[in-house]
Amino acid sequence: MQPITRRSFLRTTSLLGTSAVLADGFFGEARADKPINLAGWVFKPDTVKDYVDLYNQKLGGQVKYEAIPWAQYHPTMETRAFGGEIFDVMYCAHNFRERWYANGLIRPLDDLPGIAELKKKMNPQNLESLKAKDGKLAGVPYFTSLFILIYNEPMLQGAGIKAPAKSWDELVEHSLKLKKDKVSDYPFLPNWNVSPSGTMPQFMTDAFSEGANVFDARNKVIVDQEPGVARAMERWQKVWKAELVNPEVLTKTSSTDTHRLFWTGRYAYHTNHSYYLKTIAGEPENSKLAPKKAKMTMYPGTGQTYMWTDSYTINAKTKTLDDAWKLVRFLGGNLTGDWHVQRQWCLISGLDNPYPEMYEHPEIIASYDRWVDLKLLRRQYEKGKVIAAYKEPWYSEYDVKAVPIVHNIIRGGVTVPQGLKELVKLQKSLE
Amino acid sequence: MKPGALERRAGRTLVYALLVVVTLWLVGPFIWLFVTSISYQRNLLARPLALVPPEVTLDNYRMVLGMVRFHAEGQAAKILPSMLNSLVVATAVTVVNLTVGTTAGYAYARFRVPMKTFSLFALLFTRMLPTVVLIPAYFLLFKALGLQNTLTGLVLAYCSFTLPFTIWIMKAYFETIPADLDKSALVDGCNRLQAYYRVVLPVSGPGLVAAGAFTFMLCWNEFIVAQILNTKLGTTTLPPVIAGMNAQINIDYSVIASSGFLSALPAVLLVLCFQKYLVQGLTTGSVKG
Amino acid sequence: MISLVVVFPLVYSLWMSFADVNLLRTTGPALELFGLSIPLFRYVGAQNYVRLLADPLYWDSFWRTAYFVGAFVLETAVVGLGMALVLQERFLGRPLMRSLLLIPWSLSRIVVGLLWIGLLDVEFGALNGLLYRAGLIDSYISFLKSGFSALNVLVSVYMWNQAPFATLLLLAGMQSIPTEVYMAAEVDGAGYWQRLRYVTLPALRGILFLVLVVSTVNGFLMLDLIYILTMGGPGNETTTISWLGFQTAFQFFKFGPGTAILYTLTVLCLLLTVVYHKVVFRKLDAEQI
Repeated sequence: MQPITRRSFLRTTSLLGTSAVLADGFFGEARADKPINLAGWVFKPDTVKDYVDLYNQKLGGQVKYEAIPWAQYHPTMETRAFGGEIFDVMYCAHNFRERWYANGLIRPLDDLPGIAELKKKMNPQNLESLKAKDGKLAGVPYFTSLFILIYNEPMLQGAGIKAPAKSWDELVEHSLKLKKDKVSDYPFLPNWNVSPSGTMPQFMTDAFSEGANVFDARNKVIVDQEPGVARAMERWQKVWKAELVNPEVLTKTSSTDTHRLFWTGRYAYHTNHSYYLKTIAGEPENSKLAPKKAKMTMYPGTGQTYMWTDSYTINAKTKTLDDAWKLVRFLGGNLTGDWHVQRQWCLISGLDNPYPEMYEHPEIIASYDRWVDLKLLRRQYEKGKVIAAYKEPWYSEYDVKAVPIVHNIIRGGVTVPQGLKELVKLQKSLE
Repeated sequence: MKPGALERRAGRTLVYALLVVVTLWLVGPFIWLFVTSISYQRNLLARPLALVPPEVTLDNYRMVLGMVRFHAEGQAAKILPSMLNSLVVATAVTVVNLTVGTTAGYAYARFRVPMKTFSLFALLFTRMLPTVVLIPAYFLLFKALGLQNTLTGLVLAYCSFTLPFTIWIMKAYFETIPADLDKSALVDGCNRLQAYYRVVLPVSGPGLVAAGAFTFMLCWNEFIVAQILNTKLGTTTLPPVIAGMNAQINIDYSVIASSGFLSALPAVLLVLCFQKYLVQGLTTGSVKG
Repeated sequence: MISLVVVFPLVYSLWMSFADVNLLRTTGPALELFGLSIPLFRYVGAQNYVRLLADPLYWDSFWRTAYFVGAFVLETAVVGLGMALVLQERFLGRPLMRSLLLIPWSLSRIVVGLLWIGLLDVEFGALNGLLYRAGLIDSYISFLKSGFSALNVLVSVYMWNQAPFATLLLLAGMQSIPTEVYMAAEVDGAGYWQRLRYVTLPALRGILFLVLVVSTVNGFLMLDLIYILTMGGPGNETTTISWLGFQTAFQFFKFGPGTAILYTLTVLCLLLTVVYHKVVFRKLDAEQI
């Protein structure tokens, strides 16, 4: 984080955008909104606070923002909903959206003014992801993300490895060598953390990279019939057994905390969400690998990785629908005419964006280019693979309960075929 | 000197060596928490680790107390208000315990309470009951009563597991006070209640202090009930907020440590202040059954 | 009062363990009580229990809990007694040591967890730092790596928190042993270990029993340390019954199965209470004679 650049940037760009809106007379009338509660999980809460402040000051908002720890976010929101609290606007991750939608916690957005336009602007894959099982739109995008492979160039070069691994075999081979030469205690850092953004997205990613499917067309778990999944899991067992992976990863509670390990420069390869490229490359006060361009390489195998879209949703019980929708358009749409919040995330955090036009903007291209090979990142994005299984009501519970089973496979507590059968059994038991 | 002591010089050396070990074991971790709280994370990560921090800083405390902006300031801003909540809840529960609990303890100690054996058993069971089994019920009942997210709700819930302790401790304590004392007061024309308030309570200071300090400490430290029942912003107590600090992402351990140390300090000081009475009261209560 | 805050919720929880409670869709009859509407949900008989007893995860947690409790009780008794024997010796600053005993015990388990993260972490843990400095390890150890090691870490950390209380009780017990008994033993030529074996330990039998029962119950109920240290992982390998019940009830709001799991724990505690009650009251009767 470079507070000075970020804040000064925020001030200039956002004022431009806001004045454009005011000139339109769009919100020209001196009406203040009714109070709105916004809840989100903790990801750069200071950034969120900055633009919420801006919204309140310049756009007549009365938004109260609360950040809730990531790993416990969805259960906490449910607890609080049962307790009678209404958060008008809530973040909602892909894996909980259907549960919330089907149980009437959040409302469909198709009837709201201006939604058709937004839908047109979205990448069709991301749009499809945001729809509930009944085809209605359950949220607008917060960001989209996919898994990437990042490597520690100085370490590899220091150990005489000229190019990053192009295949899984090569990656394992490099890691074994680095371990043997005592260059690194744990050369490989996969994102096996316990939170919803960790183990299971990583599981699907590695399955896809082996050309395998995790769900069939009817969204049933079919991992026990897919040799590619078994291959991926056997590799996981192998790297674990050879102690190539820092075992603490299994107890980390967020992807952010997992990628922090990579900051130390003690690891050679790291698989995680694309948006950590920027902090690894661009925060010299934290990351030993900064400041220089992050080194990513195409994901091995088929190169396909899991891609999902997290969202802003509106509470079905909100008493201030108009104002909630206005806020949601500010956050996930284009209220200000300059995609203010969406752009902020591209510029400040390098979150991938589901609106392709974002990447036509010279300022955004220049910003990404400072710390990552944007062309390569976009190529990886093209390979992003979405699933529809999370539109099943059982998905959230499956997604959470599958983690210990997968951890058990990793640690060799069960054989690969047994473990994969358990996953299938788990899904059946929740239907 | 206890004749059970080791006497030879070698024995003395051994005793002092063991004492050092025990002391390190008891306070070392707590002191290290303090050391980390005044260190920079980069020095904690250094290898080899410096046991005396090369740089001392109050930055972590500044962050925790909201004096400097940082990315987890939202969570940090909850610390002081929740500390106030903790104080209110713990004090209220302590007051309830010292009035209701001690009177009940007195009744058990002096009177033939109907079904005494059974109710004592029930008391004991309540003391051993897993509080967590009650939480789903509290969750729904408090919602119906409008007590969810209120400090009153927490006070009620906390009484459920503190009262049995208090009654038990005070019953045992009153039993150590000769019943003749009450009798003489009764002869002097007091009624039972007056005898209790004027004569028995004034000599029960140590017992009361022990029960009070103990109750306060339990409430100050309680986590699970508060975590589930009081989720609304500004209604929860300190432990869930500190756990929330630990659940922040991208946060340095040194900052978490300073919040932890800060939250622990009041209870530790309280217990140390009253340690003499606490030990006496608790051991009487527990040993005598 | 106690019946209000304990018995009613307890009964309500029991009822829920026989019902289909899914908070996402509240259906079924409600109990109208003093103008309050308390949801009763759909009665499903023993279904929750039947499923539970057929679930391998429950039995895994059950045996894990048994191990946890066994190891915890053993460690607490041994370390508690060990510390008591050391502190019983004559040395300078004995009252101070008694105060220090209270420090680990007066910390909230959230802070206890945080503090041990600072000691055991694989990146900045002080214990790792010490071992590394001493040249005993050449890379930092991950203490929470395997489930079994993590489970033992939980046992020991909880013991660190609880054993001092056992020590306090045992010290009180030791002080009530008449000096003459030791004198007599010494005249008979008994050495330190013989006096310990034939005088001290037999006299402490009652208190040791108390320590065992109390730590057994505490072992069964431990929840907050799991929350802060392992969240039941890696895999499910630190998932105890109380954690499983807590997770089931509050991660997906399945209060039916959740309360069923917690009720099996409650029954265990009830049994322990019976045992404890019998022994305590036999002792009381003996004293009264």
